[in-house]
Amino acid sequence: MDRIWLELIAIASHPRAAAALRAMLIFVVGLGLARFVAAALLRAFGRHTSPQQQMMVRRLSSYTIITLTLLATMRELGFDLSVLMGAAGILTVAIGFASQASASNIISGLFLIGERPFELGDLVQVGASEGEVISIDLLSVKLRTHDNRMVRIPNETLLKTDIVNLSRLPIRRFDLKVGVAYSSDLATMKAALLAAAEQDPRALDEPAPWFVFEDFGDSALECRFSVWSATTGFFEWRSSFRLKALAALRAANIEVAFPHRTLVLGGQSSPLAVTVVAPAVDVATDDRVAEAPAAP
Amino acid sequence: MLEPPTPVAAPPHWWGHVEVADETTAHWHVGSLRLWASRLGGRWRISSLQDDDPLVATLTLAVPCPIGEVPAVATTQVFATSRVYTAINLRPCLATRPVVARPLDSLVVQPDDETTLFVSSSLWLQMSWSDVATPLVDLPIFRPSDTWFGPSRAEGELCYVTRTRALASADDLTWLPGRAVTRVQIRNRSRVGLAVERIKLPVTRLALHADAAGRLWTDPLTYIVSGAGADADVERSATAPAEAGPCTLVSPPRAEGHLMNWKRTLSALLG
Repeated sequence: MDRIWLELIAIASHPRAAAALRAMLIFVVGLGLARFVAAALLRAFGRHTSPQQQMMVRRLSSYTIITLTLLATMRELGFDLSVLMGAAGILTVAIGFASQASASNIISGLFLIGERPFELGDLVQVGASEGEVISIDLLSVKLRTHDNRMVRIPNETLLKTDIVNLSRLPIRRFDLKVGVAYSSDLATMKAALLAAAEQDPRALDEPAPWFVFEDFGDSALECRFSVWSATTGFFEWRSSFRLKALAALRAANIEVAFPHRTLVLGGQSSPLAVTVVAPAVDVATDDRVAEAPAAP
Repeated sequence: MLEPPTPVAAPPHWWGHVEVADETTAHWHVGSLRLWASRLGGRWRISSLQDDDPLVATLTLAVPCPIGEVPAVATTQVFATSRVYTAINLRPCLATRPVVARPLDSLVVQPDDETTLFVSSSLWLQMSWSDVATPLVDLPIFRPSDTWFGPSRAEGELCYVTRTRALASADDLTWLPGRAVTRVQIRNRSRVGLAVERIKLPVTRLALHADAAGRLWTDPLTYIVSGAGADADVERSATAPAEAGPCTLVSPPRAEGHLMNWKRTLSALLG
């Protein structure tokens, strides 16, 4: 037993073993420090910052401390950092050539972080995808769509394409497009829609609702009724307001039009030929058609 | 007509603590809002129903009332507790957002002149257990319409809107149980007439007071406009207006803070 103990002491007193122990200690303390500092910063600034800013603070502090910890650990293990830096430079060039797309995404991500076109929790539309921003990472941004699908969009794509932030501004306009029959009274229609907006507490009083007669359509008088509402809960409100507008139009006897065609025969045309497909029925012997109107 | 205020020891309150025996229901009908609070052992069932008419003047309190009287269309929440609460507290409060008052008729304050208006706004009701500060429900007696107040559609604040006759005398006010009155003084120190198209009442920072007759008043406000298109300074008095007579505090402001930082927001306030 004593022999084993003496051997352990001899190993521990070896300069390399002592250095390895110190390195391990630095590594463990460094990791703990990274977590502690990130948590402390969040506690200090968490109340006054957005989720995205909190994420950036957490990552920046953690990555910085972990990098310094790794360098200190390697130095303690006897690595020559100047050589390591030189090798890292060469390695960076090699990796850069091999992974141009990733590098482009990282740089695009930095631009996006600086420009801040959206933040965590925002509702955005990118190309055909629309959803809530749930993660902004080094290479990509992840959206959760309304039907609960995850969409990953590379940062480089985001930098090149149009991004519509649907929740950045606190109020939004809803354009209700309605086509009504040509026989409809547009003044009555306008009054009915304005009354529907006035009775809906979530339809903003200011900016005021706005009725526009847009065009003489093929089958309808095409109109637009623009109403503003708060961005929060906008989608639910939009659906409910459509229902209220439809009820208001029906109550005002305004006919919502649908596509139709009117066939007019010119004076020089011969009468339209009508072919009776069903066989002739003897009315006197068939009770089922006894009340049917007589064929012309 | 407004009665001359006379100090009384116990104003005719419809708010405050109400003892509710187990398996019974208390019922309030305050303006456009009907409320029921049923005590069911360790659970309290609170139901509410709002009328579409903002001008309902009904004010009733019934304890107990039959549980079966709660309409099926009422919105109901059930609150569970391991403690025994025998009373419920009802407290009127001012709105959860600023209120923008829009005079029905155009009003112009002459240069280097001032005027006083009386504007009413809808109240909220908070219901809580007797000794618990956090309310169980916080409901508008009548839910006003939303509006936007700000220099642009990107910069501003979501508020509630109220139409006002901008009466010059408190005697002409029609008192409704679901509304509180704010006395607004506008001082136009500019050299041009000031068209008052809308007034933003920062009701979240105002306290609510009750006069001897049980009518509700907010802290009075004074707006001072120094130049054409310039900022308006707003001052709040921490006591009820003189027109109210002796008052008791009903509820403190929802949000604390000074009014000085409103200066920029109020630049589009008047005219």
